[in-house]
Amino acid sequence: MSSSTVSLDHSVGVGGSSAGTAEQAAAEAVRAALGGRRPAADDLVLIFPTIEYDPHELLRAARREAGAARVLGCSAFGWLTGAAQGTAGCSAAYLPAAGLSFGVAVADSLGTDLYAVARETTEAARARAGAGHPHNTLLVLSDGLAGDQREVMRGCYAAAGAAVPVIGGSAGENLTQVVTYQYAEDRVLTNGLVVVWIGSPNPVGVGTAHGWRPVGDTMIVTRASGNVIHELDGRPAAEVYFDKRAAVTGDPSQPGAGERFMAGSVMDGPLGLPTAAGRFDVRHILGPTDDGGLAMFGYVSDHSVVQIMRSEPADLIAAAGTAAAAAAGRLTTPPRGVLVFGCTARAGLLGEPGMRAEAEAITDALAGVPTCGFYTYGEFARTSGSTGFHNASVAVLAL
Amino acid sequence: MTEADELREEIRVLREQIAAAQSGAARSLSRATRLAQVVSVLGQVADSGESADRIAGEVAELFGADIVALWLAEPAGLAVAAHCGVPAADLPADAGVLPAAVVELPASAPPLAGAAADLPLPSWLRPYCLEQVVWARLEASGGLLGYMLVARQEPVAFDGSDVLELRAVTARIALAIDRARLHRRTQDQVRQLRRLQEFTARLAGMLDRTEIAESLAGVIAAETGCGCVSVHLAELPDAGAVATAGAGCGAPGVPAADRVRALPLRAGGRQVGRLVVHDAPLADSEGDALLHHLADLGGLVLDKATLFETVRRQAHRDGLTGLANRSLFTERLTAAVAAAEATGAGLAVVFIDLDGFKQVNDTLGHEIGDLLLSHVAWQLQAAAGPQDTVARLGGDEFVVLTTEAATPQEAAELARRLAAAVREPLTLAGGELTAAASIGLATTVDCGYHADALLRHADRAMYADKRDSRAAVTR
Repeated sequence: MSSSTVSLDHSVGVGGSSAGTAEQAAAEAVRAALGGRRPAADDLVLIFPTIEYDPHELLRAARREAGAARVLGCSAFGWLTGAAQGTAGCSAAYLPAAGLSFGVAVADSLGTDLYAVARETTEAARARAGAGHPHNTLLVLSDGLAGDQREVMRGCYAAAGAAVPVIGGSAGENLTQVVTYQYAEDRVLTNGLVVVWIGSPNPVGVGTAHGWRPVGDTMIVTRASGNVIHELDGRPAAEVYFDKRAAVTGDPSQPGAGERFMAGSVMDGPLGLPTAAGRFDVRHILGPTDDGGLAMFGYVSDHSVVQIMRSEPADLIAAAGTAAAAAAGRLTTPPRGVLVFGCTARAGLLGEPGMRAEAEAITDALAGVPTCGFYTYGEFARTSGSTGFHNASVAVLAL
Repeated sequence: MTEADELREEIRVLREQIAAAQSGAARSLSRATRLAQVVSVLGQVADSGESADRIAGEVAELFGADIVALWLAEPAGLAVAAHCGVPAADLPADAGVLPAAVVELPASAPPLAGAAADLPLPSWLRPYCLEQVVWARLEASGGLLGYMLVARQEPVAFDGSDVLELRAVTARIALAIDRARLHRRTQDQVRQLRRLQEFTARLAGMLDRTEIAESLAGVIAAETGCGCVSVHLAELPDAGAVATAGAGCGAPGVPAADRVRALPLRAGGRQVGRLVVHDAPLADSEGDALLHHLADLGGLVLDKATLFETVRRQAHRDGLTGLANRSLFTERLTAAVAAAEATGAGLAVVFIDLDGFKQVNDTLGHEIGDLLLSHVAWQLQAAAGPQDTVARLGGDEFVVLTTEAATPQEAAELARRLAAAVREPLTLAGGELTAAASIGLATTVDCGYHADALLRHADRAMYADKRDSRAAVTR
């Protein structure tokens, strides 16, 4: 009986609320996550509210409920727990330290040198976590509108190295692309970066999957700069994309020359880039550029090979289970809880019933372990390889 | 399983097969373009002047590696230049030391590729649990540049095509590094050339030898890396350096003799000074050539300044007595009058004309006459105040400008002192020669603040005195 009490005390607590006011949503979610437990100063409370809430009111309420624990988090397109999900509300997770060490560092502004800011913030988080932990993991929350998130991952990798798995997501909002919020150190940031260095006595599990498959002909990026593909196969990228898309979907509709289209309308046909490991990295299309190019969610380099990716809801949902199982597979002790970072496009494509099925796939894979997360503007997950930036994926952390 | 389920399963399997075939094609094409991606990225990296870490990061990404490190050969030995996947804080002090089997890779050898357990690996990389590694030499036209390690944590071997591509990538990286170094060296040289041009222009405008010596010492210390530079002037061979510069100046201990060098500062075959440098650049090095160039330049400019000083002295000094000449006296009088007028201070001019000097020349000869003039000049200079200007206007006419005598009484006292000074006898081999002089005094109280009026008034007063007195030259 005593061992089961200890185990319960150390488990991750999760809660969610879709209440109409910021204060109520935050208070309900955090209260549920705590489940009557009183947090210590070493503990963490994570919050993932959707964008419509007043961020300051929300943080105040969460702080009030969280007691001595540090409150961290970011805004989201949607929230999820094992029990409930939605595109308006707030999820919260209570992470008792209980043998873990959380070194938290915050950058107020990612600015233009995302790499340097991420590297310095990670170094600070590492220093605060202290040395001597057998296992280390990095949890990263960034402004999803800050620019090339690959640079954030590179900076984190430079300071954390190949021995440290990375997990996290970039803050989302309701597709207006105006502002996202990050919460840390009792402050609301808009271009911030929150890094948590988790030191642990046992391995922490990270897994990721997307469920997309390549279809149709391959295309070569013949001109790109940053996150814009200007040309595919030597022609304006948007024109080539819609030609190929029509061939694989049978949908001949495409925007006229110079006509704008929304990210939502091409969410079901992102581009995939084959990786050296034999998989595909997926990049969603953000919108058209004035020169007929495609602005992407993330960097695409010149001479890359790309292919249109397609998926069925069942594949997306199955991928969530795959990611959760992969994360759990790296643990050597029973999981205490799970954090989930899912692509905003998945929520858009799946709708609320699909979001529920996705959460169920995760909890099924982990036998009902407490689950909490949010829908992001880019997922972070690295277990091997030097890059950890993902799109269209679900990334899972099993503690 | 219902028929519908069977159909769904069949569709799923078919879809997977198609996807597998298509992704295989995409992967093949992707590999075909990977080298082009590396070349493109290396170009961007080189153009933007980013670090070797950036190159390592790109290679890691394109080859699905967890760690990519670059070691470059530096004058002091191998040093880690990039370490993607290994935080700087985790690099040991001896990270530049590579296993012998890597260092002994012969020139143009293909990369070493295989399981980490079978290949050499520095011990500090063991905690990263690397499974597959590739070692490659970085070579440029000048020989070995360094080494690259590409490593994976997953047990996915680098196949033949990977290794072949990595060999090509290594060559490209070496070329990029070589080019970047050349570019940096050229840029450094251009910047140095600009600095030297500016220095030369500045030096050309300098006429003060101390200022020239200080600038020369400073530039030589900064541009050639000499520990201590000192400049000595030829006319003061026993005096210390007129200027010194360099981080090593005043350092304890005696510098190694083979690194101390003295260079003459010459111009037109004439030595105008000497340059002494500690920790001099090696003979025939770029620094050595620069040192000699600066010494030549310094010699020319010092010579010009010396010449200028001589000409200026000649233009302002009386050649026989060394006193100020009429030109310098007029210049000083004008300036003193203006300064005195501004403050309301007084000044005075004393005119001295030797009595019977022509007779000395006619009877004793010009040589004795010249000796007497020099003697009088010396006596007047000794009697005047240190701030006063004593000048020879020509022939046997002298004049003294004083700003020290504030009142007419003080001025009259000075005039008396000067008259007495003139009368001090000149000792010659055959006896003594004593001069007498007529003296005229003018002050601003009498003439106001007008230089011409002061001189004219003093001249008239002197003539009045001459009329009243009788010249006496005795032997």
